[in-house]
Amino acid sequence: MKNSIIKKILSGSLVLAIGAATLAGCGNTATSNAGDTKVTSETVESAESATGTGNTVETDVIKSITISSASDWETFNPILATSYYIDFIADQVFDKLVFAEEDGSATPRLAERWEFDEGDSGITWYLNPNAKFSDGEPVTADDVVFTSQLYSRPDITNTRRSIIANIAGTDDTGVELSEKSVEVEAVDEHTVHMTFKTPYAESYVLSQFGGQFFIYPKHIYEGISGDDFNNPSYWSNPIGSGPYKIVKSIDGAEVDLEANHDYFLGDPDIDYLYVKVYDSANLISALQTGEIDYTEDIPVTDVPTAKEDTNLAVESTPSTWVEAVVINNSDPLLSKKEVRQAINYAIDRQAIVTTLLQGEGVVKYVPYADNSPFFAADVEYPEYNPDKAKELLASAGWDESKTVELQVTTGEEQLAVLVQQYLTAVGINTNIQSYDFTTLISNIRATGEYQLAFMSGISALADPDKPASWLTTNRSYNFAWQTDTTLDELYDQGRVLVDDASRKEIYAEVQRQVIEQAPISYLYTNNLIVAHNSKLTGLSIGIFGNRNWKIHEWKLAD
Amino acid sequence: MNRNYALKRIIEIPITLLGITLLAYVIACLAPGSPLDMMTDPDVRPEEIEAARIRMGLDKPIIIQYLYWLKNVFMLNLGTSYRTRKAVSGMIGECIAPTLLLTVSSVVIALAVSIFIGIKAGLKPKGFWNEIANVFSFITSAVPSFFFALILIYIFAVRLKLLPTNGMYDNAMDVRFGSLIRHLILPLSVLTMTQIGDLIKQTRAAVIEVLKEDYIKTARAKGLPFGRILRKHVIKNSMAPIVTVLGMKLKFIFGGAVVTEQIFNWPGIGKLLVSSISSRDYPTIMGIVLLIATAVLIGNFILDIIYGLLDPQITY
Repeated sequence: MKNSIIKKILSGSLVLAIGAATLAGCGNTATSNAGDTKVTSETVESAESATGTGNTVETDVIKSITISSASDWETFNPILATSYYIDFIADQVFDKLVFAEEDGSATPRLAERWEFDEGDSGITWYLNPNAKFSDGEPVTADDVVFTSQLYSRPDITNTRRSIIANIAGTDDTGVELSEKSVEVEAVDEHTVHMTFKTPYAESYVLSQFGGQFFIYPKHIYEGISGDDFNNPSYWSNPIGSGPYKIVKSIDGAEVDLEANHDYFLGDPDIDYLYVKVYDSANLISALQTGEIDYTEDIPVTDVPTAKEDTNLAVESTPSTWVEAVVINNSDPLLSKKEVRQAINYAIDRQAIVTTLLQGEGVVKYVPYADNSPFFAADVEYPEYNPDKAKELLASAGWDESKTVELQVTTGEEQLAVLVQQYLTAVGINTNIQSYDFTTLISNIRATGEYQLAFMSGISALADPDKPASWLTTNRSYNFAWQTDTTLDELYDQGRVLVDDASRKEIYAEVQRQVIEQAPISYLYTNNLIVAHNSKLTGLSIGIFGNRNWKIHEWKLAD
Repeated sequence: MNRNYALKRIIEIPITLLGITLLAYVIACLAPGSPLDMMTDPDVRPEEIEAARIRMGLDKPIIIQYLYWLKNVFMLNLGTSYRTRKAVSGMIGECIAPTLLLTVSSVVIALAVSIFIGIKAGLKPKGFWNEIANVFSFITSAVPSFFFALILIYIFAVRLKLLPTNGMYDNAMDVRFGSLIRHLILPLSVLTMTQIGDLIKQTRAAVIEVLKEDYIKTARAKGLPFGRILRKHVIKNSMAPIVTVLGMKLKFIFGGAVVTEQIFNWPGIGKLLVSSISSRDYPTIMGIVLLIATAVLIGNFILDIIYGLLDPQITY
């Protein structure tokens, strides 16, 4: 009898203890303990083997940082990839001609200076003679010529081909008209000239060649067959001239990069970069424990926790990533522009940015960044005005008994609920339906089986033509199923104009029409939020949105 | 086992596989969305998307696509992934070892712990071990694996800063055994804990049943020491349900622990399956379905043989 009572007490306490531990796990973290920083110091022997020198005795500590990536990269060859997750790695392995800066200008990278031809009909790049590929071979004008030819080959799958579409000798998409017809030629060993089909704005040219024009070494990849190039297995370790090279990778999970200490722009302070795929839910705990040192994917709700930790630093900068409500213009309920304009007036964008994004965002009515040279400041915006929305709906004969369906990707439910509230408040009853991304995109693009949906994409900074693909009927993605061609005409005109003044005018008119026709309701741009180990300095966060990171300038304090 | 029966079972395997893979392919294709929907770059043109559709063979009727896939499988080619453009067999090959490491270890440890506790609990229905068994089975059956994972991460990684939460090694260059073990602890604990509950209950029930049998009473009446009764009779005869359970676990062993692998970024089959499904990467999905189905069918066949060996009364 006594034994079993004792046993019951013991087992009861065990249950309580486990229950208590569980509940403790539910508590919020107040302040965490000081995390360990991630500088790993190794012995002199490892320093020597890492740098490969047998002679000099290196007594520096080996510095490494771990960086998180939201998703894995399909391949290490950037022009084969259909997603942007490879861009970070490619920016370290390969060089582009310039660094695209925040304000549309450019700073030297492979090219130490450049000259536009008379009337912007071409450009001459003067390459830095010190640039070398990771195998020691110098980077020359021939490599730029070779890369241009590579980009224009029809037998090569190239998702970034549009960059060279304006170079003479190619067709509309950038494919060469005949073998090696792309008009890029080596003037001398370190000088390259490109001839354009039509003159293009200088800021646009610089952003293109600072964006995704990765220089491939001719001496390695010359004569490569289309099949080999398109085969990702061939690219387990691409050779480029960038500040880092790939030393090891685990498919789908991690890639390790080692510094190229002979990098022509300067020896990187950080010896190793470990890029690992991390679930966004694990990021804050990983930052706190020091498991990762840098992330761009931290959820907004974890930012306060990160800011409280003295070992972490959080910085943010406006990005061009815009969130929008795509409207099915062909749906009978939504085909009148007054209804769509009403949707614009109904939504309080500032409140959304303040509450949902905790201020880390910029209200947007058009897909043009505030600091874009083409941003039209004099357009009248449909600022939050529910009464005006109701007026517009009444004038369009809106039937308040109707319901529209808002389709969103799983994870976006919070934004969905807010938008639903605003729409319902003006008389547009809204149902929310969430799907996985692939299904949603199929509904929007392929079948048009939707009424309202959330989409996000890149808004324009230096290239004012960028938003055209969503807003026109004659380009790739008529997401809004428009039938009206006003925007088509404006964008087509804009593409061929040359002088800045008339271009600005045309794109200002585009922005006015985006408001007037309201095919898509743009909401805001998310800020790029970077959370990192506070010992990491030298980050030029403003340029990260342009897909260059200048990691060779980063420093890790001891 | 009767030779005819064995033959019949062996022939059934490829036929069942055919049915399973056909069904899987049809369902995958019917799901809304296609691999082309992943090409969302604004500069990609409609002609390129069309060209991609033809290149992937997606313009053909589903049954034709399936037959193409089947033909390749007979030539021992699992095809090329739409997402990474690598050979599917290679991708699966890289993922299978991490998954097996995790799942097999968790099954072994869970079995060891459960059999021990289950037998102790079954021998003394009102004893200490029985209470332990109850607690364990209650908690581990009620708590979902991801919640366990989050608690363990919170305690051991965030608070105590003892264990890592991501990947298999500290970094890919540093592939050391010690690093692997440290990374293995948390996901392994999660997987083991979620399995213990049911296993304990089943072992305990089996032991209780066996103890009621007449031959046990006979053995005790004969004066055999209880330890010997335990080893020779009780344990062996209680194992039959365990074998059944193992059969059900095969799909877990090869399919990977999807949620756990995702949380801990463990590069295994489960994680590969999730990313393949979200990107509608049909070849990879089919490769994994084939793998799991084959493993389950063959595994069950082998286990049935073992079952027959354990209990001679069972004849086929």
